[in-house]
Amino acid sequence: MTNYDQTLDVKGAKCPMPLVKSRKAIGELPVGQVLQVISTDRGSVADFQGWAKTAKNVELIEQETVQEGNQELYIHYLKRTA
Amino acid sequence: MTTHSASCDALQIQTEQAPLRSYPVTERVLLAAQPRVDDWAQFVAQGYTTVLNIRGDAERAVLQRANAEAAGLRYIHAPWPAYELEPEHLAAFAAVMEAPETGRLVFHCRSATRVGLIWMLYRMVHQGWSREQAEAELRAAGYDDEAMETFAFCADDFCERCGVDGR
Repeated sequence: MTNYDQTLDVKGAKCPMPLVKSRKAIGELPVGQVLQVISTDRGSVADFQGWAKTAKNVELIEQETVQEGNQELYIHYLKRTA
Repeated sequence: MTTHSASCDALQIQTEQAPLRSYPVTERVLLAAQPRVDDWAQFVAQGYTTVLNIRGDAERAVLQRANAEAAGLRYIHAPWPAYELEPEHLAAFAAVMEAPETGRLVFHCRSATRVGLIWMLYRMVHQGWSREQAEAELRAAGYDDEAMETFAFCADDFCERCGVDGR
């Protein structure tokens, strides 16, 4: 698991909420720090990959899937790069 | 980086096998989630002439274009970012709406939420609708409370960033 500096819990939120909330959170993070985003939206896996490809200040470091009870959590680690 | 190609593929298959979720906001415009392959011919049969896809995946768009055009539809791929909608994206959408060749439009993303948000902001920014009017139209088209909450949050974000009166 990647080390991170802050966590954003967007469980229950669906596209585009996880991305919009993460973009706001990354904007408040110092450059170089890592944000862990916890989502229940399966589509967030591709959405965060797409964001990292086009955004100028974000690097997607890792994504992982974790089982929590009867639901899957999609966890994304994003570094603010600029 | 841990990859998720298997789960993404599975999600794509599930999305494209599910019945089409769609919201007719006007007689001319249908807001829709990801269409299935056999939906293209159905759109033509219903009188739609153009498809506007705002999803980011270019490879999928190439395949979709082939299927949609084979069915007789015009196809436009505009991969507008989900994380940060800008006034230029609304202007591009307005240009599509105003183009005579557009005709009746199917406007789609993955879940039909982003297209609902863009439609709401288009009504407010380009057509002078109040937020209340724009929200009422989406609700009348069938969007649920969860979607309306998403529209409200994302519209606030857009209006704050872009200096738009969001009332």
